[in-house]
Amino acid sequence: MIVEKIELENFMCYAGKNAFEFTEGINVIIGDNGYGKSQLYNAFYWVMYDQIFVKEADKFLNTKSLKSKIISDKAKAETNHGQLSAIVSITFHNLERDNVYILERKYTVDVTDGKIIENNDSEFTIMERELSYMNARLVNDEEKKQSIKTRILPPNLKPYLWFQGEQVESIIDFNKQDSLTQAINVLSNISRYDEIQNIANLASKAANSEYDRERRRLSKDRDKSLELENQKASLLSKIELLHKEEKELSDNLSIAEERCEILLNKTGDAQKINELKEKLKGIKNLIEELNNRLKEDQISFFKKMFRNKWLLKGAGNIYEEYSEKFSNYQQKRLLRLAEIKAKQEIETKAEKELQTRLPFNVPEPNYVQWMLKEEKCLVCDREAKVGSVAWNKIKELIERPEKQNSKIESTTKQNFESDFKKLYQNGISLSDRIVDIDSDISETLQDRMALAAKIREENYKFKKVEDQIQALLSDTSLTLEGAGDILNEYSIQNSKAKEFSNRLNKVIQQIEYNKSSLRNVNDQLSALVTGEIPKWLIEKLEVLNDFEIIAKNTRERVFSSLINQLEQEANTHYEVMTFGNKSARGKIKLRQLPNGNYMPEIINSVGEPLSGYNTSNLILVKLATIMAIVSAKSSQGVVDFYTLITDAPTSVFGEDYTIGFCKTISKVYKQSIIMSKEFYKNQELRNELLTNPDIRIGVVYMITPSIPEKQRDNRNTLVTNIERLN
Amino acid sequence: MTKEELFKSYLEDPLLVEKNYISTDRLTKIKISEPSEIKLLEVIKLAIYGNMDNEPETTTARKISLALNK
Repeated sequence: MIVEKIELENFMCYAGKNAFEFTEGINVIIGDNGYGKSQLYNAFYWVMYDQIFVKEADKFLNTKSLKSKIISDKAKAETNHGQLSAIVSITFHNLERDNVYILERKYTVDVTDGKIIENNDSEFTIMERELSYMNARLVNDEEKKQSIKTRILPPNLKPYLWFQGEQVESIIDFNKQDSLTQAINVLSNISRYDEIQNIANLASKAANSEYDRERRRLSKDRDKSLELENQKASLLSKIELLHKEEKELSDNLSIAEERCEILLNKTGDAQKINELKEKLKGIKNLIEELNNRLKEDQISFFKKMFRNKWLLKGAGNIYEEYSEKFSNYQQKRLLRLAEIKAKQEIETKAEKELQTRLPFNVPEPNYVQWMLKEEKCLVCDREAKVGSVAWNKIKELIERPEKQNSKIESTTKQNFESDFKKLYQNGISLSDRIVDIDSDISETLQDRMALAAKIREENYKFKKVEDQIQALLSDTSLTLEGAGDILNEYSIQNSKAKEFSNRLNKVIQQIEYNKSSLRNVNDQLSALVTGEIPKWLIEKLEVLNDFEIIAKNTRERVFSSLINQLEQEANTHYEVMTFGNKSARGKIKLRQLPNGNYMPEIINSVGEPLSGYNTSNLILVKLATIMAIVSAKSSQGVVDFYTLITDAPTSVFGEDYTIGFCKTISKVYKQSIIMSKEFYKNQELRNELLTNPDIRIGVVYMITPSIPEKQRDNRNTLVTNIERLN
Repeated sequence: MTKEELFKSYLEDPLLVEKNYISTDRLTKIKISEPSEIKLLEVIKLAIYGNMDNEPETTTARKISLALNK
């Protein structure tokens, strides 16, 4: 059954009449977010199930809840009077019978003066048409309608054939151990083997009861037989209970082992996260330390102004100038002193010479004073009037020592020599420093720049490690705190698994022991038989017991072969889908759990489970497994009859896998209709979709809204344009 | 899956040959539509027919039991 056409009239954003025609192969509807892809998926869903997925509510809502919201805003805005309907019809072509089913859903409202009067329900009709006849007839029988819908899409296959990107993860829920087994049961014929096994069990049980009755009838000791039969019943009851316990323990062991497996996988991630956390802590401490050092350096930088005499930066010339001036000053001063000394020496010499006539300080000053008073020289006994040359000469004798001293003092007006010297000496001690100031500042600045660069580098590292942690957290669904508990939980689950395993072994031993006792009781019962149990009954018992064994073994063999086939198919699909991404690694292994269920896991080349694979890998494993189940059944018609309809299936694992996904889809499903935004954004990818010979392409459409999503305050003119690309 | 395919999958069980229900040679030629006169195989056929016709399991089991009486 393939979808030939879907027609939408005033449905959601599809105002007016719109149609998409499809062929076999992969049909793609390309559009960005908010362009109408999900509404197209909703159109399919609405026709079949009277429900629409509402993103805001995050669930499917029926017509009763949505009512006139189903109708295009443009159509509502343009209608003032009369009836207004949203209609979606899908044409399915049954290739086997060469007939066509047209399924149509219609929701109508009455409009009076622009006011909408809503109805609660939609109308659903099915038209059936033999292709050899032109006329289609309406299917009125509700049962038949239901049967046609079931033929188009059996409810148990729906999750694997019609799904949205977000639902991929839940199709095979790795936390539900039997979900893969359930999927295998649904998409394969294994359930037939289960049913035939049930028939065999019933028939064998009935034959055993019949045989027991006959044996009792022919017993030579009825009381003994009765006692043995009671024992047998008790043993059977015990064995049944033990089997129940065995199943329970197997289930628990499977859960614990699975949990261990998941935890073991997460342990690697948790360890990585913990290591990164430690690394992050180290970097944080280092950054803190570096920042402190930078602060200290800043303070030290200011202190160095004084401590390292940076204030004197550029004062080298001043010092040299001062030195020169001080040197000149010293020279002048020394010269002056030398001059004074020479003069003194001359004077002293002259005085010495004079002393031959009049020794220095002779006559005594009191005589000189007397001579001045008497105005007469006692030495030569001549007159010396006041103010005369002679009188002045006598007076000089008294004033001479004072004059000599004052002459020496008069070499400079002020004597700053010691201060100048101190300054000079200070200058000498600083001059070496002044020379080094520039290089000292430069070195300090370089150190600071290096420190700042180191801080930047560490901040970058910090950000990188933080990003790595975030990426790991989102890939592994772990929390930062949870990562720390993983190891403890793993240890707990591991000891639980060991405990269940030990108990299970004990129960199995008990079952064997009781079965052996049962055989013994049966032998005793047979020994009590007198006469002959009819041969046909013995043969019947033997045949039906063998039938029971064959039914069980065949079921196991077929299932095991199916698992091998699935594993191979899944790996083929996984390889094709991951071809575009070199980082994808490993192989899919369907691992059997102790309770008989199977779980997909990724293993390395030596068969060991891989840890640290990301969400994309997990989703691809799930998709590959689903497709393997479908493709493994291709010869039995599953894929030939049903169309895969999926909205944004690739949105959860990125562009690298998109082409691989399309190749696989076109190989596995006779017809598929996928809505994708990846081909909208990436022109190269779109070209490859249209030209890659490995993709069995159907019809490709591009849809674009008349008003961009962000400008839809008023949706009254919103239409969706449909452009066929091939 | 057809009845024949289902039947063939049961014929692969080694127990049939081990317990001398049928020879290996005959096993390859046997068909679901042709009577075999081998009781175990006829039982398997009855189970397959019952299952494929969506018959209740208890009904099929009863039919099998009756078929093996005497």
